Amino acid sequence: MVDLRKRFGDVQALAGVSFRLEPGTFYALLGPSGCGKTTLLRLLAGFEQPDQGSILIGDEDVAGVPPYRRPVNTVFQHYALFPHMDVARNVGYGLRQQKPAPGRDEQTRRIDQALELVRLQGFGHRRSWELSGGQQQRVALARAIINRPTVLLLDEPLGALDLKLRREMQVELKQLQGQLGITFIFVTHDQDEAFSMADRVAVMHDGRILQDGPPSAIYDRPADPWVASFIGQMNVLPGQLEELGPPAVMRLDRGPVLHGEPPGTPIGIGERALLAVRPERIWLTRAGRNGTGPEHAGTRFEGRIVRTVFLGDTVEHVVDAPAVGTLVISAPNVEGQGTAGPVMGEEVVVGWTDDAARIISERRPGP
Amino acid sequence: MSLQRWIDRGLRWWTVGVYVFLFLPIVVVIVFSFNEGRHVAQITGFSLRWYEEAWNDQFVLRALRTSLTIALVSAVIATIIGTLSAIAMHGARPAVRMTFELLIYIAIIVPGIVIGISTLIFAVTAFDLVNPVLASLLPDRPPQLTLGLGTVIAAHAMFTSAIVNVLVRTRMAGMDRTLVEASSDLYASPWRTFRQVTIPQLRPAIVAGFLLAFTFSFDDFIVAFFTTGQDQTLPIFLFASIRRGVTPVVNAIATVLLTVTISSLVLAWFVAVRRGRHAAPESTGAEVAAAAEP
Repeated sequence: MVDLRKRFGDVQALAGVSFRLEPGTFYALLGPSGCGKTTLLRLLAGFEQPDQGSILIGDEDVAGVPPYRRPVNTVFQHYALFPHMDVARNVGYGLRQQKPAPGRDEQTRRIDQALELVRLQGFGHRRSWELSGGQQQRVALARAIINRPTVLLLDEPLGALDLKLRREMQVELKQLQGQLGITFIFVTHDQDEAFSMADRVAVMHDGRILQDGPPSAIYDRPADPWVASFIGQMNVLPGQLEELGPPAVMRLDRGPVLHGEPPGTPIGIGERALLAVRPERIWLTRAGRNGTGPEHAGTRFEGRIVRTVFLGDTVEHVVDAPAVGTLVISAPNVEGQGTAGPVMGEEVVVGWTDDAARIISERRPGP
Repeated sequence: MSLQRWIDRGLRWWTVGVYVFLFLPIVVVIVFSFNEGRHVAQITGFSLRWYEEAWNDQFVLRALRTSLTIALVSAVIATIIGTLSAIAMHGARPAVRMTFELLIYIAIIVPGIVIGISTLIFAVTAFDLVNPVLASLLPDRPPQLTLGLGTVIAAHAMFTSAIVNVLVRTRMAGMDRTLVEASSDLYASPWRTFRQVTIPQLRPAIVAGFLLAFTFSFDDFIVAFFTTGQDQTLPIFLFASIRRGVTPVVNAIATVLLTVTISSLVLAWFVAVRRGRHAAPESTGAEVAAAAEP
């Protein structure tokens, strides 16, 4: 897919998006509502046509081709099951539209097979409104895969399900994708969902893909300040780049000179940049007691805990370190720190290793 | 007893009075259609003789046949025109759609007498223009277009198609657009999507529209009176026979008319509400009730 653009009136819904997928990739489009991810999906399905650009599936440019002539099927956000048909007729709908349509026995066989794949054997004669949300979800899935499309589009298909069911479906979807080998393009605003299933995640914002890569790269090496703040929690310290490194050297606005992993995007010496550290990569000990932090700790600061939030599996401390500013630190709750650990108001030492810090250019990737 | 209680009680009796006023005449007609004696105000016993008499009267039968023909044909035409126009309006630009919506509501509220007179004048004028042309084209056996079944059917189809249109459009507005997208996504061509998804989704509204159109045509007097020419529909026959003097046969015919009309309306409501339940909100049922108003 090359450089897609789409406007709705004055609103630029997609401002130049391009990506290329290997067949069989599980690709997640991740972004907040209004970022253009659903528009992108609708362009791929053919419900909307791009103002500019091309969509290549294999060698064929399908931009301008109506949805019913694209080797693409969709799982809709609210399933869009046909209420006047039972489950089997819903699932077999795509088969009946083929020219020539497969024989009756062949249809029955493939419908049963599809229902088995989504673990709904024997539900063929039910009506869609008799099913639970999760079951309807599976019917929509079976209906969309029965034609073995080249690409399967999924528009927040788990959005309407409760948390536990969503987790189950995530695992199932991933398994199903492995079994079928179909390229999945999955739209979601939930980063856990994107990270747990996708081989590749594209973070979208304002009609652009800001970063596209495997989940670990997106999390560990965000290439953009917006990505850094959108994905998980991040401490960002503004400053100027002094040396490109590695390790790169940066002078913070508050004074200290710190090391970090160099940015992945082009940047010049002296340009504005951010030093980004994940809360879980910062260590914290009580002041006066030396050495709990790693020996090679690149950076250490003194500070004071201003707030502690107990989250169950982790404990989150907000520390005011005069040298750098306010830091959020999250520590695993290994020894029941909720009661025994450092408490509010206590003087502490915090720090991180050089490889925990990453420098991000404040410059936006060009359009 | 407090004043409030008195007011409540008074209102209750007032309401009862209103309903009695509304329905008593109808009840009288029904009761006397089963009365043995010839005279109103004197109940002598239960009998079906007036129904038998009506059934054996060839003028009554002919009027009934005329009415049924007009109602069926005009309802079919109205259903086709109303449904297709609703679908076309659904896809139209907002400005165009609003204009047509307005025109359709006007068509519904125009008084029957105006529709009757204007159709009469239009038909007579048009026939005066067309008939000489036809005569010159086919000099041997010149066909004469005149008032008759055709003009009544045309006039009925005209205003009942507006009712079908409103019903179908309401249903369309409540329809889930993604169903059409889903169908298209699953390789169905636009025509097949229309046949396999759109029409089945609209079916309750279409059937209800047909039944309403049938009802309106069947019990219409005013429009038919102006446009019918020689043929007599059942309501016109009733009107004519009352001028000759009320006999219990009239009561029997009126009761039959009432039965046909009410069962058709109830069926329309049932189809729209019960059958439509799973795809669209109950608005269609409300629309049936609202459309039945005029």
